[in-house]
Amino acid sequence: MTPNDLDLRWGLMVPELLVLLAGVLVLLVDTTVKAPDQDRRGIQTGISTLACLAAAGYTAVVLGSTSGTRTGFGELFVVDGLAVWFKSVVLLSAALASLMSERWLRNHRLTSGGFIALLLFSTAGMLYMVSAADLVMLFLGLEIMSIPLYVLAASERRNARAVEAGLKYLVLGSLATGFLLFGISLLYGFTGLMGQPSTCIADVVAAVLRSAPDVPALAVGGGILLFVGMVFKVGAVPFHMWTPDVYEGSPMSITAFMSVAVKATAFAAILRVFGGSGVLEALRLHDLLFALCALTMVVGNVAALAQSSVKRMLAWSSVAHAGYILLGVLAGTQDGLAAVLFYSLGYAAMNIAAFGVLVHLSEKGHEVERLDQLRGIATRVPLQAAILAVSMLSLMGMPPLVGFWGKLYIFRAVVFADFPGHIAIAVLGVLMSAVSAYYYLRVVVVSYMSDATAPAPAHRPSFGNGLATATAAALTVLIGLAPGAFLALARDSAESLRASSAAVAPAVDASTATAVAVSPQPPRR
Amino acid sequence: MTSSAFMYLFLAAAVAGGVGMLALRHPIHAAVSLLGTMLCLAAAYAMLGAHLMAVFQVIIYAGAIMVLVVYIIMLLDLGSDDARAFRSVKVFVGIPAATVLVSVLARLAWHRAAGTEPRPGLLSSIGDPAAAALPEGFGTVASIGRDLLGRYVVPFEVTSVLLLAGIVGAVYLTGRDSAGLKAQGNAVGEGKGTGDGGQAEGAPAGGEEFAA
Repeated sequence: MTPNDLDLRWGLMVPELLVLLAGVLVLLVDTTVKAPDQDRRGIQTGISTLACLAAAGYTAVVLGSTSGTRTGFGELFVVDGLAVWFKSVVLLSAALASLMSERWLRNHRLTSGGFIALLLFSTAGMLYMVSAADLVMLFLGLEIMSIPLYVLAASERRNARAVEAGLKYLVLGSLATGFLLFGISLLYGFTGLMGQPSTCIADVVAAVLRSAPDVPALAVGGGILLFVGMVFKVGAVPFHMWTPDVYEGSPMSITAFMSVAVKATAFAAILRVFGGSGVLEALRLHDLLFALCALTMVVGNVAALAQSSVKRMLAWSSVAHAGYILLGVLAGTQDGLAAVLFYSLGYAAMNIAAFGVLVHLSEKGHEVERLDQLRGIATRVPLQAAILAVSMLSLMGMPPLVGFWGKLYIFRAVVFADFPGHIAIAVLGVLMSAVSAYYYLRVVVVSYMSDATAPAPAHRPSFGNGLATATAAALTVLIGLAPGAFLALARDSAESLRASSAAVAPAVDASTATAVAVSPQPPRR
Repeated sequence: MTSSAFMYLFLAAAVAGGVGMLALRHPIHAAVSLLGTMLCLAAAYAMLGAHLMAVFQVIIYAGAIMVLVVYIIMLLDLGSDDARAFRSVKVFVGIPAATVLVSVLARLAWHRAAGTEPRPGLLSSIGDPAAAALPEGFGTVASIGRDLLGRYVVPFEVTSVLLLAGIVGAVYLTGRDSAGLKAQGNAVGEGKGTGDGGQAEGAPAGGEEFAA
């Protein structure tokens, strides 16, 4: 095989390479630049933010300008609308998270080299995972995404809760990865049975569809395990056990990053494998997903009601939102998939805004986590209180904000979808979203309608965090004001899924006559 | 015929090793039992033609991972009395699970031996292995090497990012705290006031050394 056969289209991989380069640069700054820690933190978070923004710009402008699916690197790496959309979301979250991290690092007097570099490596892993056209690539991306996050969750080493968070995430995450890997190997074995061993996602999907409706247990088992491994990263019930503890113990900026970017990446992978091609139905996963959605929405919302810590409440609320987004996957229609994309972006904006305010209010030894610490912030920091209120109202689903449109598109897609019980689960979603009003509004009420009990700590605002919070809040409002444009974009991006499943479809039609057609094709080398 | 006899021998030994690992009371005995299982599996892989897998099994599992396991057992100084707390859980969960698994396997083996088709069901429709025509040279060192540096060269290279991230993460987590990290670089400014005086004092010298 010559390099030409491999199709090394480096232009497609520019965002990943940029982010990796920035990660290495950040590490080098630690050893080469002689400057006070304060300045080095600024340089490193600056490099990280700029690299992520540049990569996001390249993704959105250069890669996003031409529609259609482009593959490269031995057909392992794909850039299509789905990849462009989710890469933009991930890179934007990474840029904002780097900006937010500066303040946390300063509060804890930590050097930022390792921290920021790990954040960037994790981001690169997400980008690879989003672009994976092959299960091997997907697995590698998942690992590169996860391993730095296990470390970052525990970065406050002196704190028992942080260590608990890191360890819990590591152990449960490894278990989930084991499921994923076992699923991949079963599916690989299944494609071997079907005549051509392959880990290429398109080949696996085609093989499953070809053997439908009587899909062998091997493929069903593999599909379930693969799905479980991905859903774990999303944090859907019953694979959510790690979520509250990990989100609570991690640094605030990392919690924001995890809740937004990891979720978006996992949804991208779920859509890439299970989205829009009828694989869910063929593998008999649809009922499982239905139950998962219902459970996730109920458990996430009900558990969030009982929390007195804002951070834990946001963790449970992220479980609940995972449930809403999964509804879009469940719907499976083009509208549903577009709604998943839209919601991922909207959730990123509003959640980062909420965490940004918490970071702003936190001082060393005075982490703002409990609800009563928010008392009277409206008089103390009116702007931040307003942003917090906007993000809470958006998470709740208040009309002009992005959260409302996200939920509207999701529920509409479910109502117009065609599977048994679709109305029931849409009603359940709306009801649960009404339940969530209680705990989101409580935050607003506490910050606006009660007086401060404790004197405010001396405050040193951070430019980076302020910028990140303001950007996220602005996005929350702006996307909310012009949802149509973004939905149209999401629809165009989701189009690539239908295009790729359409490419599979003729093969299905051709081989349905010879139900389990064994075609000994030469292996792709 | 001899090869299949050897196959059964190795597989039986592997199962025996697994049972031994669970049954033996002393952790080191259990570890050695596990080693036996791994070696027998390696032999089975070799007989199936997956030579590279067999070599990996010996070098990585029977070699590196076993050393790690034994090292941890010795580091923690586990006696035979520890780690038996889950006995009742094992009995209540393990025995039913094992019964189900064994009965399913026995049913499949019975039908295969008798040459009959098992009743159609989810568990029986595993698929027909005979239909799988593996390409020539599948699983040999040459073909895996060609794939690894051919079609799969990007994942192969991207793995290095994973290793780098792992190394950076390990250093970040186990490094000598923030003050320790500063000692490697250059502690100017606020670093000196952190209270970890002992480490911060050595900072300037360490910084110059590192820069040079």
